[in-house]
Amino acid sequence: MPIIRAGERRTGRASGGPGCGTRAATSAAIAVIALIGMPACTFGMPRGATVQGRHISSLYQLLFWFAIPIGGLVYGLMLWSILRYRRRKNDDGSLPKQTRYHLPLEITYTAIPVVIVLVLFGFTISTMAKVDKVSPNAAATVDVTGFRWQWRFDYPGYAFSIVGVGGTPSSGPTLVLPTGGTVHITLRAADVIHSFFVPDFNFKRDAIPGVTNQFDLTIPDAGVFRGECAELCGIDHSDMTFFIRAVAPAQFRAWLQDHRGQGVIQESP
Amino acid sequence: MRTSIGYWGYVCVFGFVVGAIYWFLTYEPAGTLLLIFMGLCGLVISGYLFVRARSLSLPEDDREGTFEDAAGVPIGRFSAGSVWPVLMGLGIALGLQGFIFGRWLLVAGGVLFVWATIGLMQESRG
Amino acid sequence: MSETTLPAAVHEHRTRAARLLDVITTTNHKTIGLLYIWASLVFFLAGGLMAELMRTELATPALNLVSRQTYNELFTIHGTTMIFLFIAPIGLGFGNYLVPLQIGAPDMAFPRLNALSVWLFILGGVTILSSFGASHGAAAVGWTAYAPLSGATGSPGPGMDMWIMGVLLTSIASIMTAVNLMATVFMLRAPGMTMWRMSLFTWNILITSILILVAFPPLAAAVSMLFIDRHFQGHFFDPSHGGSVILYQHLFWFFGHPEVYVMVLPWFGVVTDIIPVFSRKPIFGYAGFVLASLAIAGLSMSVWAHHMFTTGLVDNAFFSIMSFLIAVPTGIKFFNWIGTMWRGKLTFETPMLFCLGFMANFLIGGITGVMLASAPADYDFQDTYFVVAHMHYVLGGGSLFAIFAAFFFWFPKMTGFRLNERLGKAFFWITEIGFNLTFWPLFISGLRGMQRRVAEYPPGIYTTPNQLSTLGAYVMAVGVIVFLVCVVQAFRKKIPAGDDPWGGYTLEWVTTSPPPEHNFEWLPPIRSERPAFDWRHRETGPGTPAEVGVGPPVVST
Repeated sequence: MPIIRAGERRTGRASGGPGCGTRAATSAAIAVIALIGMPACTFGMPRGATVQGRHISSLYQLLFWFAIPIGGLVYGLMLWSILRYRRRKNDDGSLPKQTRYHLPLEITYTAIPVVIVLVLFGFTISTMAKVDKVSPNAAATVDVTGFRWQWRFDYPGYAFSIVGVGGTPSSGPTLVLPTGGTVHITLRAADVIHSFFVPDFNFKRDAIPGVTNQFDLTIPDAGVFRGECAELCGIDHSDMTFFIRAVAPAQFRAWLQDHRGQGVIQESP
Repeated sequence: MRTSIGYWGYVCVFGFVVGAIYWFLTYEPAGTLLLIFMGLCGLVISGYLFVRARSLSLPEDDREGTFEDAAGVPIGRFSAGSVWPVLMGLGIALGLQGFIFGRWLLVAGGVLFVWATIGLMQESRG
Repeated sequence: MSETTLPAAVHEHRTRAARLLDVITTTNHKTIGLLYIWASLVFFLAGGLMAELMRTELATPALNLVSRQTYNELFTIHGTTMIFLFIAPIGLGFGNYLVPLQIGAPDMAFPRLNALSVWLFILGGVTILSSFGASHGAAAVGWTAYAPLSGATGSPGPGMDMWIMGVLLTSIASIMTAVNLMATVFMLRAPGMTMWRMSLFTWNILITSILILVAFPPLAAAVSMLFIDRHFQGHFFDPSHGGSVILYQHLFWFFGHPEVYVMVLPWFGVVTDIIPVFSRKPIFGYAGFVLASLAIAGLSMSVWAHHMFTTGLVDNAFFSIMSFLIAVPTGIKFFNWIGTMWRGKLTFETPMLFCLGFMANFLIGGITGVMLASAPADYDFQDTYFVVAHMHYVLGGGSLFAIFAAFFFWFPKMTGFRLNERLGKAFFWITEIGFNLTFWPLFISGLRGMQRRVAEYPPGIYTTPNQLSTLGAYVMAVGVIVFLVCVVQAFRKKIPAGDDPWGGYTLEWVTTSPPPEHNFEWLPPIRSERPAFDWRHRETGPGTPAEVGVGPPVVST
């Protein structure tokens, strides 16, 4: 006895469902809502508090918008098959047509996905160029080093660094950065692999022993953003919390001057 | 046999072609070598089959073959049971633990492994 | 040792000790296949128990059950167990049992090698699981064991070494089985069983074997080099002495990515054997399916560094396009399955339900995989729960469901007994609901930024998804209990299943349940990929139905 019996007691209409007029109106409503909602919905990812992060969020939205019709088509075909082609109670036991292949269809459903993924790859490449671009003129440079189990932020040229001591999943040192311009980060690891991850920026880069990684962040608006380590580094991996505080450029310069020459400044929760 | 030569040939070509593309795109040695060696693996197997087995006409590749065609043809030796595999397995496992826990285990595992190898060979001959 | 004849089955009275000795000295592919399957299921239960402990821990932001060290050991051994000791070997177990039957062979090409491989697998599993008892505990580095964390300073103690040796043992076992399967398919097919008439499960097992042969040696190399770094003053992965940390990742992922296809290709094959039977149609697009599997195999060797997008040390563009491309042959398979069901006559016994669940879940895993293939998007996703959710959708919602489909489909053939359909269907629905409840919320916590491999997380936005996920995990546990009851009941009640309870298409359904020692007393003529079906319909139809399709015959059977 088949478990799935939905659809067996549909309305008696020949078309087997709501009438054409109602169907058209519903589709139109959905399309309008989708078009209006499109720029607004980020499908769960932060909008991005950096310029680079916004590019990533837009790419993700695009990927999601491709996924919806593709997923919808496949689920629709599956559901249709389950409902329409299940064996009926009064089946005569004959075999259905034993179709083994359909070359034009097979070629089509191979070619179209190739085109789709090439399009997606095109968008990927253009976004990646924007996100990975390292500008020659940085408004500020910070050297970040990950170690077991906290972070160290060095401000070259100002002779001080901030070192986190004893973080927890909720607390850690603060990395102060200016808004507006391009901030350049160099990233290193002192012992094992760590990863510098700021969820609000939709961005991470690994800190690998023996390697110096470099990336830019451009933060348009002031705010405080939580960061964490995203590569398992040992028992207190979850304690490598840090915060990025983005402030106006004038404030940032004043902050730098205040701390100039102070050497190693420990920040504990 | 043509199909078998075919897909190992595909592995060979894929490894070499993608390995070459990868090298000129990235100049990254580890991945390039891995891909090239994958191609070599395909080359060895498809090459051997091509040279030795291409002309082999197997009853299974005869599209009209029947069960009776293979009657009486010995296709292999299928032992009824053998104690040597489990002993060899124990030898290998214990030997590997010897790297961790002490040389005596390595020796014990090694002895077991050699004994099982001899047993297997004798069984094959008998 | 005997030359192969076809003796009648001999049932003597055997004592318990004698039967145990029979099992320990077996070289019969069916017994070995069953050993693989039962051992894998035991390891599955162990891995599942670890998962329940982890999910309980994650129900609250702060620690509530285990220490951080124990939690790290749990997720490491959970991943290692599920991957090396469950999904991959149970596929080889079904392959071991079914491939000789499906191609009409009396056994595998190298029976004693076969036996050796199953003992190495079991001993490897015992090594890995007993590492919990080592001083300093089990390995706590994740199943990926990146250097330098897994090196001598990062992971002191024998637990890490036992992990290495356990992985080496199971790797050797897998390579042996791959060689055996390939030789068997090359040389032991029955007359008329051309390669293009093999069942698609057998084809996919063959392609899986190719992948195993090419992918496992780099893993063996990587973990051996790790061991040398740990104990023999090696510096392979030590940058202070000219080594390279990233080298480990290249070697590991050159294995690791094909490994995930090793864990999924057999199950694609299973689903492709089962859906046609319950649709009363042949598989749609046989040749396309085989070519797609071959494309997946090839491409899977060229995508490895999509696990390394955030290192800044690999060509993200190359790996991104390759990873996008591999979605295409996978998608083709969906059309094979839908095309098979289309205009068929579907019934929904338990194996078919699990196949449909497989499709529904795997689609989500596949679509999120395409999202992960986009390198800059991966800058956000990498090492968050988004990846955890994706991989569990493909391996859990995908492979696991197909494993149960295979189990319910072939249990009658292997044991001769029937499994209760009602319990089977209940098990399916509980698992489908529980599975989605467990893993869908993890997409959400991952998008919100929760990183992997942490026992504690900050209170706030991650808590609700984690609580829902834990609830789902408990529902899945209930499902597993139903499954165990179902299996025990089948062995108690011993309802005979008969030779062919489902109307199957492939050769194993022609022989008895369970099959005799050398599998077949007799074989029908093999003229298509559905020899059992053709034999059943030999009176009613004009022999094998002519190629029914549109376009020139791609592969004439």
